[in-house]
Amino acid sequence: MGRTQSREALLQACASGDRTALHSLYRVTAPQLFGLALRILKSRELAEEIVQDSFVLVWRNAYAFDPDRGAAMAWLASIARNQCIDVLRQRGRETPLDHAAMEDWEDEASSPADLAALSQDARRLQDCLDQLEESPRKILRLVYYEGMTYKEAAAHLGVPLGTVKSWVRRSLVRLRGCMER
Amino acid sequence: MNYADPELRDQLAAEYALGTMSGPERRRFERLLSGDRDLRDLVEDWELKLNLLAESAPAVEPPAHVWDEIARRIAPAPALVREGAPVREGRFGRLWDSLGFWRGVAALAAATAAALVFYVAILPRSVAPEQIAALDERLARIENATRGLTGTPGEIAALGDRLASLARRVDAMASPPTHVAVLLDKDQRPMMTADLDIADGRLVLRLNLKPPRDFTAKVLEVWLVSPDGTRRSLGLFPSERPGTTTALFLPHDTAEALAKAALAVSLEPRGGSTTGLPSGPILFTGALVPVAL
Repeated sequence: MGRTQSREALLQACASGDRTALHSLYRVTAPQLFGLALRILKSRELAEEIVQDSFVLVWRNAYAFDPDRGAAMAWLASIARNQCIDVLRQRGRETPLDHAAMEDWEDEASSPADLAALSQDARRLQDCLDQLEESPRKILRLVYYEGMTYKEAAAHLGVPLGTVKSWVRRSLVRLRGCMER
Repeated sequence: MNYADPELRDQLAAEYALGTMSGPERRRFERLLSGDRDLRDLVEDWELKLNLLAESAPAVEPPAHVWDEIARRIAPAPALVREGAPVREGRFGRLWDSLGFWRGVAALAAATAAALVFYVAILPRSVAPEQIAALDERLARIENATRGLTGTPGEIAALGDRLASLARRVDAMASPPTHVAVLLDKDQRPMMTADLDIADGRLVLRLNLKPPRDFTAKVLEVWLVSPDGTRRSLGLFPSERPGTTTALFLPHDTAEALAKAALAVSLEPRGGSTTGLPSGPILFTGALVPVAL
């Protein structure tokens, strides 16, 4: 089953007021955004709210999407994830971080099958992540998928705050260097 | 901290995009972002890179009611804006010509606009912190009244974004506006933002989106719609290109009247309506709300 229209084209159709395009975009992207929101917020109710708000925001702001600057999926995800982070920071965590449960996936290596499903840009980011050392990579993933602050990441890993900060900062710079190569 | 240091700017942009800041740090950084376009670009670049990770998130199918709610919230607004040119004869023509209809437009636009005051508190991009506290009390009261009509704070924030960027441009030009409006189309999209300075009668309008219309020999005309349903032309909008900003300078009494009224934009023959009243379809409307506290 091939996508008949790219997510980018669907977003641009949304900008011209095409509701069907938003529904198609929802069908191809909502599961991933819902999955991301669930992982960060650990609450179905909140994650559902975030997905709703995000798509309404997408509908209203689609005209601001510029395909030359980045991928549609990343644009959508930044809308959804920013809202997740705001919720976490404003209300605090409703469910405390479950350190044991995180061990299972926090440094899962990307399998060839998983990689094949990714867009070219996302695969490149994964490649670049894989080039980082284990601990910085682990922290970056934790921070992204759990929405952790530096402090939370430091406590979770039992590493000094300063170390966490410098790992993340250095990794970010290396990541960008790698992606722009 | 020296926020002019490029390395620090880049680092903060990345950390904001990644979301590692605490709540207060995040809000502080957002205040910095509000006045700094280059910094916003840096943040967006980082966001578009880091959020490629979302593709690797486990997909979970959301329940069906999630889409139903989205569909409800983006559904066309009834009666706020009417599609189709008014016909001079028949039922529809009478409706179009009736003051009652126009009073409805003014009232609905005002209800939508009330929600905008809410945005000022949620997205205090160009408002001083001490003003926000003063807003809180007022907001609590209008919050319930406006929620049903306009949706969540997130949506209002989206309108607010547009408004804030306009407000910033005006800030750079002259004194801050006393009243603002977001004009929505029938799909509730923020087509135009308006910004009024009642002291010098300056009305700054910015078109955000291209109306899906044929503009051959057509032009956008801006109307003041009073609460009693009367309307008068304020002038023509120069282009249908998104991003176009124009300033109209209004006589003092017109500016005063506008502060308590709504704006409507209609599609008219080139040169504007010849009847003194809107003759083409109304594409978007929105009421003015005061920003001064």
